[in-house]
Amino acid sequence: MNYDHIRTALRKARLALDKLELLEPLWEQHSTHDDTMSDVFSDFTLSIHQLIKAIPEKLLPPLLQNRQAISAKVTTLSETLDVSKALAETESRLQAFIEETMRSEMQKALQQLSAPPARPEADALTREANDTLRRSEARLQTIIDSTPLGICITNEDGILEYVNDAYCRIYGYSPEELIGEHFTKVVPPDKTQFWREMHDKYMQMTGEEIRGYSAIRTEWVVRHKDGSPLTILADAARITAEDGRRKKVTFVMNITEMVKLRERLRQSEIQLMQAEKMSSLGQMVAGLAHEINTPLGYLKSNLQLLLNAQKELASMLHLYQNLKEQILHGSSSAVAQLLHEIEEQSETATLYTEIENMCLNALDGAARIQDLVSALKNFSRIDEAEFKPVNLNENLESTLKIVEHLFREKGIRLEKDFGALPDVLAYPAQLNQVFLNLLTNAVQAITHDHGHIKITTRHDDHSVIIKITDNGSGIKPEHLNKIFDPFFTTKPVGQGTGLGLSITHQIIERHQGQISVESQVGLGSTFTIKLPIERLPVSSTEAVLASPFSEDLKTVESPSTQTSITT
Amino acid sequence: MNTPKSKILFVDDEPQILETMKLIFRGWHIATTTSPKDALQRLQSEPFGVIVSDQRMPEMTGVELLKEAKKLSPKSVRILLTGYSELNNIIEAINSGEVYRFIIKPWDNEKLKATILNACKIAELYVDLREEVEKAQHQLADQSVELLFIDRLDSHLQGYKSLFENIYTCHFAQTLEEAYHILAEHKAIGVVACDSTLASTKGAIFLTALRTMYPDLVIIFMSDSKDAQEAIRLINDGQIFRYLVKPFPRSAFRETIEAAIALHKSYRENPLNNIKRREDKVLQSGPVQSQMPLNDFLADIRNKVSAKKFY
Repeated sequence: MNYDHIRTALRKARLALDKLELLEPLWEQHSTHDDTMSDVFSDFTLSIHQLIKAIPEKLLPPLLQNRQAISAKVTTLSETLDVSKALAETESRLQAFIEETMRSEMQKALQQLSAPPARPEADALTREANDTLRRSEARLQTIIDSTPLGICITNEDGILEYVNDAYCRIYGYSPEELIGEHFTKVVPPDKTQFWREMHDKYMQMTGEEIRGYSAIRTEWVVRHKDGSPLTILADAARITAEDGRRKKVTFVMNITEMVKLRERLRQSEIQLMQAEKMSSLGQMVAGLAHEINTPLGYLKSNLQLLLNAQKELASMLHLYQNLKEQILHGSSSAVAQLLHEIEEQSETATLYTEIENMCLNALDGAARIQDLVSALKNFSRIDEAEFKPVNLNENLESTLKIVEHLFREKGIRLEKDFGALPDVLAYPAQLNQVFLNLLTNAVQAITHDHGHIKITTRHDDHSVIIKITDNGSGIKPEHLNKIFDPFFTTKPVGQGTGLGLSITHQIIERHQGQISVESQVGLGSTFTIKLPIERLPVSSTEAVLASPFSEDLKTVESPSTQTSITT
Repeated sequence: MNTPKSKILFVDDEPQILETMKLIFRGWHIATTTSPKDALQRLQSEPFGVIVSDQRMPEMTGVELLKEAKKLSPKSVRILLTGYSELNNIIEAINSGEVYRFIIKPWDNEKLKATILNACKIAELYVDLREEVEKAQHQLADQSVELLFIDRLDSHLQGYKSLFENIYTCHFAQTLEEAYHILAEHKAIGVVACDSTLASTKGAIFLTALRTMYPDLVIIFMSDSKDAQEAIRLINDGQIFRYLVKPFPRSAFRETIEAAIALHKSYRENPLNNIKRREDKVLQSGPVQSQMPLNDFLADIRNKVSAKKFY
């Protein structure tokens, strides 16, 4: 016996019955038997027919065993209707969810009808009401059928009672495969329990609780029939059926593609950020390579010279040792010969007299390289805590060491007006990147030979304020509100990614600070950064650990990753 | 090593570099300054055979200084000694500074000394090449200059053709082999424009080889990629005339070709104008006539280049 078919037919019969019941007041009141009624009635009859057809013939009572007769009966009843076509139409007919809405429309119509006393034109009115009803039914049906929004209705036990076309399309099931099933059929197996609990909780909430409830209104990962993950955006409403039972209406939108697209966008954004970092790193490396190669140049060169001087000295020493030997044990002519050689060599070999200079030069070179390397280390803060209290004056100093050569090359005068600063909790490496960005921008903005950059640091009760002022070309007024936008750049193609200031802005925001700019074309620009002295930790790296033990932290972490994939 | 007669001017904003130079070149005629502006003033008042400059300096870049120096003292041999090789600077050094050598810090004292000694001799050589001047004038002075374009892409060759075939006798080659044979047959070719995709398969060595055989060739290198190391070799070994980055405007290419032709003519009129000829003379290497297959010849040149004891 095909229970599925029987169940489907029964369900349809029940729906038709429900509709009949709904239409009954109208029918009683006006004792009309119009098209709507006959349609609904034929729905009902056809479903019964379908039901009987689904039962194996031998199981039917003898009276019903002659199917032909029944079919014929049904055919007469539905007159010219083609049975199979009628059945197909029945399938797509308005179901429980629409009825809910239809009922309210109908009640409106009824109110209209019942308000005026029955008059001769009552018949016409009824007809009009029926038309209205039919139209709104048709309209709702069209909407429900064509919306890309998946809609389903579940009962208190979580059994699906209604699914629309879109819902079926999203999950890849036919309505038959879903209706009568538990709704967790569409969630990943390991999430079944979570969803069941959530559903139970939702169904038991008071009306008040429901109104404030928004946990379901987010993104979820669910499962397509073929097992592939889907991302949906969901929302739900709770309704009460005529029998007083609660139902949950769930709306789902398939955002899998959108999420993929968003992820791709995020990836390319990360790549661009990386590219910007690499490009500023590249520029910094270029500058620093020159800065390091110069002292390395004279360090290496002086060491080579030292080697030459050492050869001179060794050869001289050799002569003197020979001389000693000859004085003690040799001949006077040999002594005279050696003295002559010594005389000759000391005339040409004079490099050793410069040994002190060479050593001092080499040491100076080594010291300069050491300085640069430690400046780089200070700048990158590679061996320090990511998030810690820092004195921004120190950050500025270590950044200045890195860009010092830029100032020197362009002959830019640097004015430091540093006030005493309280420590602020910050990501020092990120703030250094901000200062590097702003300082290199300031240097690049200066195209004349009387460049001047002033850095001021101050604080008030709540914030530390840093101002970087240049007397460069300035920013056009129409560009001022765009400079922090990603990809906005006035530099020629290939010379700027347009992300420098956008990253700067992001970093300052991450510190709950503000960055602003004032500028006048031809006179220069001032960038002002304001960072709060006291601030609340926001990200996980700043948060206090809940437990010193890693196992504990894992269990604390898992529920959130289990339930929601919200980014 | 004999101390050369010519005077050398060292320009670097780092005093320690200059001090080291003084130590390396003890007994030579040298002058040092930390200021490019000062350097330019000195060039106006006294003759220098060689000028060696740093690239990154406060007042002006090394390339800018050498470009000015070329105007003030065209016979001085120009050398750039720099801590960092940024390709754009190298291209500038070729195209506007016409530098003789591009040397990267840290350097090797002996190679530096040998290079600067060569440079001094090259500067001193003006008087020693009289007879070759006459010989050259006798041979080719009145002959017109022919062009050779080498490019892997036929479409690009067609482009050059449409631009120049009505004005000059042009030759075209799609492979280095072809180019090698065409040059052997057509002595009037004075300017070669070579695309990087071809040259780089054999490195800059092909162009170096061409100048070894035909010192008067003026070479234009065309590239759509940028490789700093290659560019430095093109200066130091190939002594190329221009480094053009594809795509370039037609007008710029036409001007470059015309400048190259003019330069080649000046080489024909007076080999002394050709620093390559002077260098060959100094190194006593002279033009090589090769009957070898191209690849063997290139291997030979490559060995010679890597065995060089100077930059």
